[in-house]
Amino acid sequence: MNWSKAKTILILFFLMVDSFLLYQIVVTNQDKNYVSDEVIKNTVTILEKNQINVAPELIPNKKGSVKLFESDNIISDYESFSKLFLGNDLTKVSDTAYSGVGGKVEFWGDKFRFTSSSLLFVGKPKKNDILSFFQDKGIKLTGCEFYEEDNVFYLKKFENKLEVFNSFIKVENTDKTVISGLWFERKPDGFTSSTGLNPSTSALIDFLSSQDKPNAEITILNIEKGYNIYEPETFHKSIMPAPVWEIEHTMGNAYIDARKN
Amino acid sequence: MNKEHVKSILLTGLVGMNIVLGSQILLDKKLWSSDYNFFNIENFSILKFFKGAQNNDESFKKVSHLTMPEKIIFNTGDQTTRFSLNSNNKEYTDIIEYCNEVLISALSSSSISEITQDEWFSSLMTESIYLSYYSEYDTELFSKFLGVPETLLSEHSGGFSNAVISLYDNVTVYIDDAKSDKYYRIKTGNRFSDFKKIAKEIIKNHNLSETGQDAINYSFDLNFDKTFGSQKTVISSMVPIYSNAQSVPVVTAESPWSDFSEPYVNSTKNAIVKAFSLNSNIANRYTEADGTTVYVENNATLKIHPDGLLEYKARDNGLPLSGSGGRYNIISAVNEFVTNINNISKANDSMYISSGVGEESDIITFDYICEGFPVKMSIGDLSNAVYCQISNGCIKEYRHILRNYNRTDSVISTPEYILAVDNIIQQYSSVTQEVTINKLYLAYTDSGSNQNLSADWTADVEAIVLNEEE
Repeated sequence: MNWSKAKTILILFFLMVDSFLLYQIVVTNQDKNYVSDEVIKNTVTILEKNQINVAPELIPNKKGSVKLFESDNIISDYESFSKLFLGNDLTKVSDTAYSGVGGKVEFWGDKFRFTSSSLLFVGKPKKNDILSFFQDKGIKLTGCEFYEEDNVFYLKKFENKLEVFNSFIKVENTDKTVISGLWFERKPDGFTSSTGLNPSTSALIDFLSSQDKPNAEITILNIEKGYNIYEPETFHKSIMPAPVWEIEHTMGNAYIDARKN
Repeated sequence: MNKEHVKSILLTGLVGMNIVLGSQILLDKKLWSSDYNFFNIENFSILKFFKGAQNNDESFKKVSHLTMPEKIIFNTGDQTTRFSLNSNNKEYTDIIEYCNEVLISALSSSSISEITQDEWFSSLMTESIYLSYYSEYDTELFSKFLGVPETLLSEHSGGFSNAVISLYDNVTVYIDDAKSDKYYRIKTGNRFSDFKKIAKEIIKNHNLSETGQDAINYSFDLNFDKTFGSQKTVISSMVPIYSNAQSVPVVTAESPWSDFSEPYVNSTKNAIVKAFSLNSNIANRYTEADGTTVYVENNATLKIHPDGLLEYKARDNGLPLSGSGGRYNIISAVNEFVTNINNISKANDSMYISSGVGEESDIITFDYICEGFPVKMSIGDLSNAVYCQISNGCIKEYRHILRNYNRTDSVISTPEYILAVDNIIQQYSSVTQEVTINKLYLAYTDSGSNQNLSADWTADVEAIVLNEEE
């Protein structure tokens, strides 16, 4: 037997087989991590039939995963939090409101609002002004992005480059200062695990049947993944923010749970 | 390097790459659908066979610990030398296995005869062992718990909570039927020499060691099971009456996590979440103001309180129990689940079924045993350590108070038995009521964690109004 010739044939054979196997793996991984154009096209069609307009290029085609983490409410309890703003000499107005010389602090579940008796910032507060204000009270705010809109100043919360959509600090500083918000800080032990995400197309289909879908024709403006604080109308001492898809549309926003079952 | 050498290296490399790529495809389940992947481990028929054997509905796995009596009384033939043992005594552990062997033999016997109440009482006046159970057992279920699939006794007696094993030549078992006030004698036809030897050894050692003995009479011995004139309070015939105050240890009650670090507690919580088939990655998880950790999925909510209370509520069908239907399988599966939760949490795993075994009720409750005595829960509206509601073979609602009970160095004397009876009579006595004390026993009462508990007399009382005043 001409062994040299046999080796040549075997090399060609294994080259073809290995190429085929490699192609299979790449294509299958693509399917695992990306939504196909056909699925996006079908999703757009279904949405249009239900009076929801969306441009295909707006729909993220990557599935991916997100990291999960536990975070602590900056409000440990209503009275202690109120003391940070009003001092120890405060009066309990109700279970969810305290007042003092410095102003008034009110609570709704995880949300708070401090209305100061006077202006706390000179002119337009900057990001560092707000951070320093909280730092002086022993509250360190991390992962913040600052922006201003109509003379109202916001800090938005980000974790692992993803926005925590309903977490914010809002500062109004006109005739008096009003600071309101909902804020959780990630625990020191960091990210606990990660979870795969349902694709954005699944979230859009889920949106069709959710109570957040308006009964009118809408256009979707943006779809983005991030985190949400679950049931902020109830107080939580700590929470694991839920990965969600934010669907921004012409009549508001909707948040669809993105976790893979 | 010549051309042939290069070709050999290239071929070797390509073969190696082929093996690697092929393995990756075959072993990565996500690259196959489970419908047709021959290599999918779940489809291996031989493994399916073993799984099927494990899930066999007819495998009467012994859950004999569920048949442990609350106490056993050794009748010596002399009322003044009777003595009782509970699970805290070493001799109890020695004898109970033998007792179960005798009961297994009786449950397998066909020699069953109905007897009179006098003969039942007579069995307690000779050398015998009286077994008093925590609650009434369905005969068929009791039999299955001991590993006897079927028993002829169930055709005579639907259920019982007392049994007597006589130490005669051929060991005989007596049953007091709970539903019909009938009594049965079952001959085992077996001498059970070892059992009798151990029993008599225990009796002998007890007689030698005890001085100033506490005399035990049954209510019927003293005619306390009968009304006399204006005295309308009776004590059920089989209730033991102790002449002296009892010495019982003081114990502490605490959550099993009270001394553990946060990382350990968190990993225990994750294990509990998994036991309830919740996914801690998917469930919404948050902590309430009082430190309760809540896990919410679409189909269920699980709350883990810092004091050791677990609360599970299903919104759909519920958590399926292992094994298929049938009362025995349901109770076994619930028992297995409860044991698993106790093991995960490092809680006290000594428990008994307190809801009665046999009724087709969809509620099953368990309570703790501490130092051989039952523990009564009284925390808010929680009156059992474990409450489990079943529907169609699934757990719909589940509450479990995790506890550890630790003995302290203190021992206290309970009030005398007769004072306890007097208190009950005073509490219930009225010319319009006839009162029956069905059970009077020592129990701990747990009303919250981190406290010292001492056992006290606890009564199950039935009050019947004779004449209603208009």
